[in-house]
Amino acid sequence: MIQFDSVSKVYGTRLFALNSVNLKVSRSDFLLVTGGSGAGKSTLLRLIYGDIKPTHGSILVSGQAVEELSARKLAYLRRQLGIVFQDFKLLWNRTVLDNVALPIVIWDNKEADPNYMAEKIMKEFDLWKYKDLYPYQLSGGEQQKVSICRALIGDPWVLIADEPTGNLDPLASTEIFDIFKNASKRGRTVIVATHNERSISMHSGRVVRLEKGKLID
Amino acid sequence: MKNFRESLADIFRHHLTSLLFCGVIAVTILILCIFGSVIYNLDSIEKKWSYEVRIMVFTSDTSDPKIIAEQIKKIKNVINVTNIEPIAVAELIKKRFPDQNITISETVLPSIIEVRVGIKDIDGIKKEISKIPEVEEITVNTSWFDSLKKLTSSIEYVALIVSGLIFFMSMLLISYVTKLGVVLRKPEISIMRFCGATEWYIRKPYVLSGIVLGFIGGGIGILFYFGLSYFMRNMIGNFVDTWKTGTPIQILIIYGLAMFLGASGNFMAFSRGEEDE
Repeated sequence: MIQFDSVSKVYGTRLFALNSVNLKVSRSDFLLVTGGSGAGKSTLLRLIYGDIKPTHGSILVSGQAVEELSARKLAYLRRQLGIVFQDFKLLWNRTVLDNVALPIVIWDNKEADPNYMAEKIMKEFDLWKYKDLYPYQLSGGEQQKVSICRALIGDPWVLIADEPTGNLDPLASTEIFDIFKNASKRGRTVIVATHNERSISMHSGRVVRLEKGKLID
Repeated sequence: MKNFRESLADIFRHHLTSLLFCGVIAVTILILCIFGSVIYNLDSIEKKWSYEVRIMVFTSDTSDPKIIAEQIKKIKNVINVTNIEPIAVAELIKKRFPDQNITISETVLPSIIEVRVGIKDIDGIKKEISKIPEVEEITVNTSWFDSLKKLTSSIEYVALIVSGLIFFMSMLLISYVTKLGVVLRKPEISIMRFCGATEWYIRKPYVLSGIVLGFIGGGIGILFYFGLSYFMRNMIGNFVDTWKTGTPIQILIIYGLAMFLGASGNFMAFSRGEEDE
């Protein structure tokens, strides 16, 4: 479970990115976080995976206060989360296969074979044919699918996506949202920040709206 | 082995910064070696010039200088004893003032015993010689050597301070070169973080590649130093007893220093890069 207790995030001295946000996300929830630009969607997600610390309040992920975790513990927490970004954040000098296998390589789990695990998930997403290509040789939708594969390879219980369809055409966006929906059906908690109203209306799920850092249910 | 391979791949992937890094280490090691060898050989310079210290012993007219010379030879740490007969003293004076046509009777000239000693032993030897009853006067001029000693110890201090400064400066320089690499790789590092990489996992390739580049750069620096030493030996061989390049242990220490410099510079760069984030 993920829980926000009166969380505020202030950038500088005055700018409230989030203002006393209280939020609970249960296991296998499909949560859509919406709001205009600068509403605080990305800040909310970044707080979950500990990229930034709250100014006030506390964020609990799996019972751990993220803001209090040491760098090492935070790294281990992130292994339970799959993160997807608008700009894909792929390594351009590595092949698609290497990009997908990256988390397993990093975790250095002796029992897990990164290439085998990558092959399994890439075949599921019909990406195996691109294994030797580099990300820049793929379309935007395919690149985002690669980044989702990378996020899912470690079988995380939470999938966090920050504007995952921001750079994609409507068809690719629908495909990406279907992937998230399936992930949720398989028991994963999925949190997607988006301002894409079409996607929100097309997909059933819990929707929370942010306006100037305040949560409006 | 896997980590080592990774760090090698990393060096080739970022070959320009690696080259710069290697160059900085090579230059640092070369300069450190030069200063180190100056400090190391100052002792040799002192030794060479200390052989030039002479104690002049004047004996009484009635004594036999040969017997006294034999007695002086027996004193510990005396390097050389030469008995200068009055006739030789007269010849010396004539040679020194050829245009003055001086006529000197050998009988009025004293017998002089020239004693060559090490600088550190002067006082003790002087004391021993003065115990010989036939010795009338002992003169020794060490003021020039005292000046030389002051000069060499000043050089020693300056070289030590400069070496320390160079070491610190190169560490900073290396850390800036690496920081450049860190900035260039910031997106890659942040991706690794989001994938659950620990700080050590991210730093490890930097530290390892720092050691490898330190090894290569250190080797280049030492090779250049040996080349330079060859010329230095020819150039200043007259001023020193023997010009020593360093023992294998000293060279190994320098090599270790190069690797430490590489690793610590990278580690430092990473911390600084993080602070800037």
